[in-house]
Amino acid sequence: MTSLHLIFSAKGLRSCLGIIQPEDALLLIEDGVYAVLEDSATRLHAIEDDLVARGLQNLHADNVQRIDYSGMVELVARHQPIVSWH
Amino acid sequence: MRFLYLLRRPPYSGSLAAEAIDSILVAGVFDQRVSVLFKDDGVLQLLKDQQGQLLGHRSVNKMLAALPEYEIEELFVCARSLAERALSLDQLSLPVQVLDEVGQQTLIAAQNVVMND
Amino acid sequence: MTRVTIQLDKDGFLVHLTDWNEVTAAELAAAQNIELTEAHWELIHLVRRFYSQFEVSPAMRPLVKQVREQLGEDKANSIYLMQLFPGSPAKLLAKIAGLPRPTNCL
Repeated sequence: MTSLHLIFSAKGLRSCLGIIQPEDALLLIEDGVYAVLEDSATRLHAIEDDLVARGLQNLHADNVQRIDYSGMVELVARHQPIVSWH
Repeated sequence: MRFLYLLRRPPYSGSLAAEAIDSILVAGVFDQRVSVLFKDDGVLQLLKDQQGQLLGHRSVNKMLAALPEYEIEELFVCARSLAERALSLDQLSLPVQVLDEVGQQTLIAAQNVVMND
Repeated sequence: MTRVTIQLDKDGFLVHLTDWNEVTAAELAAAQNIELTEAHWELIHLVRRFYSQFEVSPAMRPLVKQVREQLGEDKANSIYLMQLFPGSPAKLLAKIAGLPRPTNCL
């Protein structure tokens, strides 16, 4: 299985980008969704409620796929290990 | 099961680093294969000559020195994090293996569980 | 003579590690029905050295490892330690030596 990286901050995203493999999944969560303002190249998932709550729903590029919590559960089930980046 | 502890915090921002080391020692008691990767500010936990008692804390470098006593001997450090802080291995309190980015990818991909501090 | 009161937590560990001395140790041991002998003292001093080196109280496995290195193979087994500190040797030793509980004893 491939890794799922849970990104809790823009700093966390910068740190993990160096060591991800191409098939890994990245999910922006909580304040991690602010990373959409910095990264328009990496393929990312983001929790929709976290984006909308912060007014970011129209500020991200096509690299970001918005998912809900059931989408997150599905991602978690498909990956191992799960790595958190605060 | 393979457990990796990914430590990215500096040693004295609250007691999070010390608590993480406590939990690594617990994992060591349960005969799991445990390794530790120090990355970002986590490499600062390894600096020699800390005096945590001045802050009312346990000295994190002394706690880390207990890892080999618990048979936790796979200790890794991120090459880039050392370079960014102009640190060399002789400034660290424990023997660690330096990993480049590919080495870290391989390490993480081999784990069942990755924990954080 | 002034009788100093020593504070213990709910599990009988010292609240202030600096309260420890050999008299305190004997009293803490007596509360567990243990009379301290030379064999007890060498282990008490061993775990106190461990703590001053690592700032954690040793769990069973590192305790046995240290005993092997410092006191010899004959004593490096849980039966020997259980005879001196019955039940849970690592925990009881830490308590009598005036150290925090080992981290695996939650």
